[in-house]
Parts: sequence; structure tokens; C-alpha cells
Amino acid sequence: MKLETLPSEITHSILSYLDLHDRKIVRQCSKTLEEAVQQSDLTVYRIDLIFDEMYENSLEVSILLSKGDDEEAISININNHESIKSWLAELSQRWFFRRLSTRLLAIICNDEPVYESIVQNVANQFDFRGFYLEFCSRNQQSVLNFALRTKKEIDTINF
Amino acid sequence: FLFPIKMTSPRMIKLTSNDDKTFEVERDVIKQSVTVNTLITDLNMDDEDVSVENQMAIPLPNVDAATLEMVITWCKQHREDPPRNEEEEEKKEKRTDDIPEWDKTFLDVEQSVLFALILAANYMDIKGLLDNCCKTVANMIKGKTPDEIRKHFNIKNDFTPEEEEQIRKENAWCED
Repeated sequence: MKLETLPSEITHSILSYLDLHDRKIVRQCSKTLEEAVQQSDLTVYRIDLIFDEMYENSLEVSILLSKGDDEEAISININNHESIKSWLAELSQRWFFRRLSTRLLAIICNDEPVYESIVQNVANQFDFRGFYLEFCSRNQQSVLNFALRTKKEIDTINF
Repeated sequence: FLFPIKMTSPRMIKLTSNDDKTFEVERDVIKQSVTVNTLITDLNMDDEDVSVENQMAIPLPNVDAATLEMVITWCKQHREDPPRNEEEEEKKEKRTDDIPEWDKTFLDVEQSVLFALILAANYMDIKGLLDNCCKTVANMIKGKTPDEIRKHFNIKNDFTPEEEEQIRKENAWCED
């Protein structure tokens, strides 16, 4: 018996103890492990961004992370691009985010203009190559899906 | 009035491994296995009138004797553990630095033994043992490079250089 031949539920359990970085490393080891990581990524957690207040140079944001009935809220004040980076870093330390997809991030915003602003902020800060980003408005039934392959593509998306 | 104290020996359960070795284990110890516990209940094996000699052994076709012996040892060590609340466990932060020292030493075995133990814990549905085994494997992975992981677990790199490059690119999204 080897790591790669363990039943999938056990591999998923092992992977659930790894953070995003280590899961990405495991993906690179072999095709079987890449598949295992991707399958376990399919546990969908929803990230809800609730923009509480918008000040001149900052944004009060509550982030609600949920899976089924389980949810947890954290608050953050985004006042520059660096803080978005810290925000992602903080999220990555949380166990539910560890099990979030390495490819899919669902950002659900409740405010159209702010939603556009955060998209631009995030797009400016990060290179989302190969990262499938899903944006949708809480008040909209329709979901806008973008497969973002390059930063250039993000910049050219017409919202 | 003085009443005679009835000395009762602990209720024993017989388990048979897939290589036909039978173990007698205290009912109170093996209750940590949900699989065995369910069988005991479903088969009315808690009937006190049946002596252990006349009792049917529970076959465990997926577990060999050496592994079953380890599982029983683990269950004996953890017999006083409070019952697990799976809902609470699910909500807990996923950490791997909380493996008890005794378990760390116990699980410091060859990979093949550890994986056999994982399979047995999974089959016998012993969540505490399974969790600590999975945490132990996760600790073996943490902080290693892909090459180090492959070497440690004897994994063959079956990616083409192009596929490897593609994954590296896909992984780049949240790297600094």
C-alpha cells in the first residue's frame, strides 16, 4: 500500500490537514495526487464579501465563509492593496479555506460598484493565471463566470 | 446486612483477523470501533448468558493479525477517552500539532505499517485512530518539496515537463 493507492476518502482526509501551499506542492508530485487534490478541492465553500462601509480610502468588509449551514465571519479593513494580500494570507490560515479549491474562488458581493472595485483591486494585485474566478452579485440570479488565464485578460474584461 | 459482592470479569469479545488469528478483547475497549460495536449490538452479542468460549468470533476480513494487534493496543490506550462528538470535531481547526505523545511514538512505524493501520482504522471506523494516522501522514508531507515528497513516499513522477510547467503556472496565483 502506498500513499497514492489509499482510498480517496482517506487521501482527502490527509489533504484536509494541509494548507493551500502544501496542497499545491502535493499536486505537483504525480497525476494521481493531482487528481486527489482537485477532487478534494471540490468541497465548495462560499466566500461572501459584505461591504459594510466605504470610506474615502478604505473599505470595511465582513467576510462570511460558509459551507452548508456552517459559517464564520471575519472582518477586515481594506485600505490598500497590501491589505488585500494580508487578507488572503489570513484566509489561507483558516481551516475552511485550506480546503477551498486551489482553482475556484467564489466571491459574492452585495454591492455592484464595490464589487467592481474589489475586482479591479484584486486583479491589480494578483496574477490569476489558471485560476478560475467566479464573481456574482448577491442580488443577481445570474452568475458571471470568467476563466481568467492571464492578468491581461482580467484587465480587458468589460463589467 | 452484608451482601456478597459479585466479582464480574470484564465482558470479552472475540475478533478474527483475515489470517485466522483470534483475539479476545474487552468489550469496553473495542467499543471505540463503530463497525465492531454495531455488529455486537445487531447480533445481540451483549447477552451476558453467552460465555466467551461459546461466543461467535467477529471476522475482520480486511485486517491482518499484526495490524489488528496494533489496533487493539491503540484502543486499550484510549479506552478512557471521552466519546467523540463528530459535529464538534468537524468544526475544530484542522491542526496536526496536537497528536498525543503516546500516539506519536506508537505511529512512528514503517510507512507500510502506518498505511495498513489507516486502512484498518477506516474499515473498523475508529475515528480517533484514523485522524491521528492521517495527521501523521500530513506531517510527513508538510514543508517538503515535490521531489522530497516523491522520494519519501516512493512516488513516480509521471508528468511530462509540459504538464509540470502548466501546474506550476496554475499554482502561481497566490504565491508572493
